[in-house]
Amino acid sequence: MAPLIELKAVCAGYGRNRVLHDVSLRVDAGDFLGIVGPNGSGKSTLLKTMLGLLRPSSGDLVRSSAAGDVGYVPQRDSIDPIYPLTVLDIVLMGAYRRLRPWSRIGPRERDLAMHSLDHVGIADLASRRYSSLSGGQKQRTVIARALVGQPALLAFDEPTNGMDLPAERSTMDLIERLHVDDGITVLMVSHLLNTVVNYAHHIAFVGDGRVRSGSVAEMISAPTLSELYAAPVQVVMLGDRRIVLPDRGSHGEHEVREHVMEGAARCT
Amino acid sequence: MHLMTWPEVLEGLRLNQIGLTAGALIAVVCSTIGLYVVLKRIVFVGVSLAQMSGAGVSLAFLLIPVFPLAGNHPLAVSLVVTLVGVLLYAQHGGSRRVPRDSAIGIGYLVAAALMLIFIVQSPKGLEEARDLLDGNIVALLDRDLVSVAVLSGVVLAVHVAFHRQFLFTSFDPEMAATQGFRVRAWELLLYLTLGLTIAASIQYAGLLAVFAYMVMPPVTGLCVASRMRAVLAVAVLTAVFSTVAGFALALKLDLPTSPPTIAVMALVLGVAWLTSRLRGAAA
Repeated sequence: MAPLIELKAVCAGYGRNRVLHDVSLRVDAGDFLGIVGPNGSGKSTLLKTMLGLLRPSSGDLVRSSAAGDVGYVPQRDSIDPIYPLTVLDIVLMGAYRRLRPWSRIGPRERDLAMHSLDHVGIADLASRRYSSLSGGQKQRTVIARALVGQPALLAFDEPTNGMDLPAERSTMDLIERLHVDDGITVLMVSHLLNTVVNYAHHIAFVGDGRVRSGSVAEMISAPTLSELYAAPVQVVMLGDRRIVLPDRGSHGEHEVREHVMEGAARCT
Repeated sequence: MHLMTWPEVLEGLRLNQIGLTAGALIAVVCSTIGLYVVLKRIVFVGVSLAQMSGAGVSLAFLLIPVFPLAGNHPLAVSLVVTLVGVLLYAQHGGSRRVPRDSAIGIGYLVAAALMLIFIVQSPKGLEEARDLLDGNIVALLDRDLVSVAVLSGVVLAVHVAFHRQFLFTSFDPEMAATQGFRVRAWELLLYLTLGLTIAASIQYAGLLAVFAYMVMPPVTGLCVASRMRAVLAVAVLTAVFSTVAGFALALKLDLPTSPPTIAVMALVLGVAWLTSRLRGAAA
């Protein structure tokens, strides 16, 4: 089956600053691809290139017609709270492309927006001002907006950044539900490796402008991660969950156990 | 100095209906566009474009001896200069060496310096400088009112037709781009309406008033209202009320129209800000 999105030997960046070099990557229907890597490594640049927001300086970006509408969920901090908009106002933006100039928002668009809000569990917040919401509620608002277009693929940029543990867990569970129950293909950028590895099917690691990808089992192993991060890394299994830890070498077992428990708290 | 009585002021307002109507139209269109200027946090683009427009008008007057046609059509010259600024600001996203806000500041400074040079050299001299800063809305003719009405109609029609595109591409340009909106094209159109409005308004209402209309009424709206339409309504009402009240005060105190208009806007904004603080404290 043809991939939804495929990058073939793509180079991309901003002006003369080339961030990605010779990247080849594919996303198939039904996949959950986690894009990880150190801060500033080019994860968001890769996502923007895959979505067509950034034109490759060389190579090819191929998007299948089956990809249809892409629902993009940007970092919620990129949204300026000065705008006097309610949750419903923002979610309705997901229906703007259906509307012609001069036309009014009709019952169909409102129904779609309310259905999306209900789907992410915040229908009761429709009339609340966006700036008054918590981080988790803001994230659900922008997810609901992306769902209005009934996308085949959802792309998230650091969806749990700056959230407390319950909000992070709740947001990740929502993303998993959209993926499993609704069959939506997911692309997710995150620097929180321990969060991504326990939800994604495939991992794309971005570092030094290069991208290395594979299944979670292939990528999330101590030798591979130690090589990619250029530092010793341990991978510990806790039940069916993977926990990635910096390898402290001569440090005591007690300290490693503390790390494991800390990681376990994030994943359970 | 004879100060008017209030009945004389009322009579003065009645006799200056052309200027008052033109002022109100400029207030409506500037405060409408000004809401985007404030929300997009491009207030300094507004002031810089206003300064460029002022430089354009003074350039037109400077050219009178060698190119009389330019002096008869200052709007055209001002529009060309302002559109150059629009194209520069709409394209320039900033770079490592020249940040965007620095580029805007440089544009403002160059325009201000050129305006002063052109004014000193032009046949009209300091009188022109005063008109540029304060406006001369009392002296408007029927044809000026028609020009202002046509401009306001065109700009407001564009904003009513495309308000969703302007809002979405301003609020979340990346999401809008993934939805197929041509973000740079919409931003350019928004800047073009901004430049057109500034260039056309400035020669009637003056540099200070045009800039004030773009900033103070929208901020007033944001202080007291929490929905987009309500903010816009408060902004437009504040701008129109300030125009009428400022006009009356200008007649009463024998002042140019801009300073009392801005003073009224500041007073309304102060009350709105205080109201929002009190409401916030009570909540």
